[in-house]
Amino acid sequence: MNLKTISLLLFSAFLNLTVTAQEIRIPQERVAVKIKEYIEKNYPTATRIKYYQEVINDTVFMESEFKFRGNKYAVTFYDEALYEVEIFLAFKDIPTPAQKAIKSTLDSLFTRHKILVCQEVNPRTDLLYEIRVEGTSERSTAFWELYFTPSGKLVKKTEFIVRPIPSHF
Amino acid sequence: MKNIITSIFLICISGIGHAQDLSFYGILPAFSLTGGINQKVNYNLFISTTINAFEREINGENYPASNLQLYVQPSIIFIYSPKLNLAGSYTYQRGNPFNGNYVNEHRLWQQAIFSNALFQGQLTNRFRLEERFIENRLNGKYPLSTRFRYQIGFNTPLQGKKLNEKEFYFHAYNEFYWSLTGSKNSTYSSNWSYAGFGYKIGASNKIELGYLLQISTRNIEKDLQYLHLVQILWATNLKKPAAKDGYKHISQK
Repeated sequence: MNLKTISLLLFSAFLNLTVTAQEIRIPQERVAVKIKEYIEKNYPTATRIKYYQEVINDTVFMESEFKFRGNKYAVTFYDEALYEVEIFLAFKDIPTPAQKAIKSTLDSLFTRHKILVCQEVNPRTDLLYEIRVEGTSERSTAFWELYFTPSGKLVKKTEFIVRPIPSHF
Repeated sequence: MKNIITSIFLICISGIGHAQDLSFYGILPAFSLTGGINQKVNYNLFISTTINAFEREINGENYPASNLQLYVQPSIIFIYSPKLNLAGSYTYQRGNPFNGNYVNEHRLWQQAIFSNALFQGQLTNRFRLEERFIENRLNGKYPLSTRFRYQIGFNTPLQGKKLNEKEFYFHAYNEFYWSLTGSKNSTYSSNWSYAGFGYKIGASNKIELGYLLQISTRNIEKDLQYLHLVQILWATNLKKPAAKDGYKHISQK
């Protein structure tokens, strides 16, 4: 194989790098007017608005991320209609009865746990609390995502993988 | 004002007269393998070699193209939290590995690395303390010297907020090296600056190509050595989620 052949192969390999992105950032101009109007109407003082196109199992979603009244929001649309709203909040901001029930569930699931992230999912329709925890049970520690109803009942438990922070040399 | 200009000019002239700074150009191929022992403890094997690619003649002295360094770094990483990792390693380094002028080094280090979100990317702050045992070829001993390194880095996906397969990313860092104890040319002994672009090939593999500038003091007169390198990194991470959505399994309650 000579140098010319190698160069041609490398060049064609470069051309074949098809982007099969599951989520890409979209400039404001390419976002549907309906979606932008929804954000402007419902979150009038929103700042740092960013839009992403997310593809999950061949279904295309549009997600908007922004800051509103001190909290971070992620609002997802499907076919220009509202699909999901997520609001990041502190655990102490969850109503006390739900907070107590969640705490009690976490105590029963884990011998030790640390709450990492809290989110309200769809607060105006089917509210769920999404809590990310680092939990220890039976001597092993893992990272979990748990979903609770407004009354604090656990409905879903998912383990997620945390990769180490990249560090070379 | 005239005096200031004259002084600056004299300083520049004297600098040129005494400067024995050397510049070399080369490549640095590197390989990194990461895997999980359990959810909190991971291992990494990092191997690299530094090659001076061009022969140079500077002030009548010949510097041949050669392999400057072989670096083998196995380490254990403890995920204290997603934003703080702790690590420790025994590292073997061999200077001039393939000629008679070689120098072996055995090194232990401990590090903490913090990660914070910045814009769409990740800002990292890495602190590392090294205990170095560098071979003295004259007496065959390995005296202890210590060094502290601080690295500030930034990496960000270029096609969205998450780095997905078949997407590009950007990575840059600057690392400061301070020699604390033992034999040293100066306290602030080295500085590495890097900027490169990477591509995530699949769920486990990334390739990265970038420019790395290694500056180090090469004698007690504090003359500098500039090493301009093209770094090519292949990084494999075997710790991958079983499901495509990033989750290992789902259990309904």
